[in-house]
Amino acid sequence: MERDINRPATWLWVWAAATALLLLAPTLVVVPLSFAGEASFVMPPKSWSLRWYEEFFTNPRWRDALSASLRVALLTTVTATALGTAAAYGLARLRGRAAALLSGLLLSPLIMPQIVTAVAVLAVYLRWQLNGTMAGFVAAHTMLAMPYVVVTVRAALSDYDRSLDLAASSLGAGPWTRFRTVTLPLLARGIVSGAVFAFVISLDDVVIALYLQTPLLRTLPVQMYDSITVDVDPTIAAAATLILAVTTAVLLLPSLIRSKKLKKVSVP
Amino acid sequence: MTPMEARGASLRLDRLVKRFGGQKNAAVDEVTLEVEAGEFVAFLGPSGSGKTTTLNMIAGFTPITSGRVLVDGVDVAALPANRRDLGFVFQHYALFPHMTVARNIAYPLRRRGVGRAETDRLVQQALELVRLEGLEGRRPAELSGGQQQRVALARALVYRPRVLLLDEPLGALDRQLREWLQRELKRLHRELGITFVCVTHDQDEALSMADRIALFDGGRLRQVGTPAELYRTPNSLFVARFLGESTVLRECVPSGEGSVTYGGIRLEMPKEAAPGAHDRIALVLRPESLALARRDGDAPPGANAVPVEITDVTYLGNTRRIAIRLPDGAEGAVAQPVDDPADWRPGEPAWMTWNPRHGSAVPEETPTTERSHP
Repeated sequence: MERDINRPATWLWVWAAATALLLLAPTLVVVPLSFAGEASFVMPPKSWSLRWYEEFFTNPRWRDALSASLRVALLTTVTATALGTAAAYGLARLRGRAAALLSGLLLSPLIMPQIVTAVAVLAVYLRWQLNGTMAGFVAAHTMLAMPYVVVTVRAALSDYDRSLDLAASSLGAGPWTRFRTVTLPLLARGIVSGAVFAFVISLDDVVIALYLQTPLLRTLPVQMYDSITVDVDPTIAAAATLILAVTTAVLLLPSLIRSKKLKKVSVP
Repeated sequence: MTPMEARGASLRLDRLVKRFGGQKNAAVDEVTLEVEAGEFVAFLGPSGSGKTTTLNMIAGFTPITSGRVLVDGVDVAALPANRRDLGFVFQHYALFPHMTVARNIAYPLRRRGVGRAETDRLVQQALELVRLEGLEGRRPAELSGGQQQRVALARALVYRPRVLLLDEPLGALDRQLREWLQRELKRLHRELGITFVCVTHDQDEALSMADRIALFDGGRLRQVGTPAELYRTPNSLFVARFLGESTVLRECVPSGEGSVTYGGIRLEMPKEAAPGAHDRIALVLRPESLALARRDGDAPPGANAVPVEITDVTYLGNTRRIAIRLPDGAEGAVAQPVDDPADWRPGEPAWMTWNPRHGSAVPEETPTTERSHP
């Protein structure tokens, strides 16, 4: 029988599924654990309950950590997206050695070991009295998240037709109007993915957050880390499951919006 | 406020120079040109000849190194592109992909603060002008190349600029569409009375559309004139070769009043065709002013004759193109009407004859300054 060349072979599906399972399985273990009835990490759980979710949303330690994490992540998303987009836009207009140098500098937080960054940030923050402050958290996370925005927006810019800028200016648009009406809408997809990355990076960070935490301001990953070192508390499984759900939802968001948009276009 | 009331502006380029950083030769070298209000001028030339750079300097896309650009007598060189109020049409359309056709065309009107009702009316009018009624809700990606370029034209014309600049506007389209849009551009130019400046590397496009052609080469203007002037009286070998086909008799030496010798053959030449005082000239002959004879004696009285060899015969509908080789080895071509009974075959000797009035003399160029052109 002739095989459709566009359809992957069955073994390829099996291979892909096995790889996906290998990548996801350790993470997915926390999901059944979070619904366990007993205060232990026994897999599979002997009984089921929602008590760890209740604990998560009622215990002030967990609730405050969640609120701190969300506030830091949202503010980081805004600052990292704005700064990263501007940086990518500027980089696209540079040529030669200056561009390579600046782009390396902007992307360096990606390569720098986080522990080194964390120690350095703490040293500076202690002098500036920024540790344990919202501004300090957001600034440090912005530094971590901005490279992701720069990368996604630069990718979007590489498809961007510069003659559209010339067209807009010949039609009477000044630089700012040009950016607002042409560049920004066309880069929207890259900017949104950058923003999603920024949000997730901030939500996910534990190393820097550990150094910057104070009893008054600690993010969810720090609270999780503390809880697991102190005692065996399955609330962490509930927290982990929630984070998993939120990040998955956030990461899937752009592709969901995209497919909806495509449908809208095809029906004139 | 209808497009029909629009008026073209005159355009003057005054010793315009563009020198890109680190380059020895100027990309545009002292180009001076007057374009009358309402005229259609084509910038023609090989790639890298400076024609597009000149257009970009007029538009304000490329900073001017020195010189002036005057629109209706006002120097616009210091203004940014968005304040020059000129229209620009790009080779690859440059439509905004995230906007519908209607919003693309409305874009320049919104920048000028035109009200909504007036905008709708003008957009409709522009769509009618380019014959695209009914497509206002489409996105550029849903249109063919020809339709996209007509949307781009509507967008560049809707605010009635006094000068429309076009950069290879038909370059991305296939041949049939190109010829049809050439006629459309001519019609728009006629109907609107706007000044058109169109960059092209296609001589047929320039010959068929433009009132005048400005021929660029190496950053300089080589000749400016009507298509007929450039074709009949080229001022240089470059112009003669770039526009149309020609047979060139090289290394002719003036031998007194109204005559030259070409490889020992004396050729008559009208006095007014002499290109000034040159010790050597080249004689440019167009295919349709040449004829072929079997023997020297068969040439019409008073005609010049040069012995040639037939190398090829091609039928082109209403004419036959007969390729010939001159005594010095150069190639040439004769256009023979199909009703001419003479039957020539490759390899045959013949005499190429012409009325002395139809030759045009240009200064001979030394081989080192010569360039090869298609």
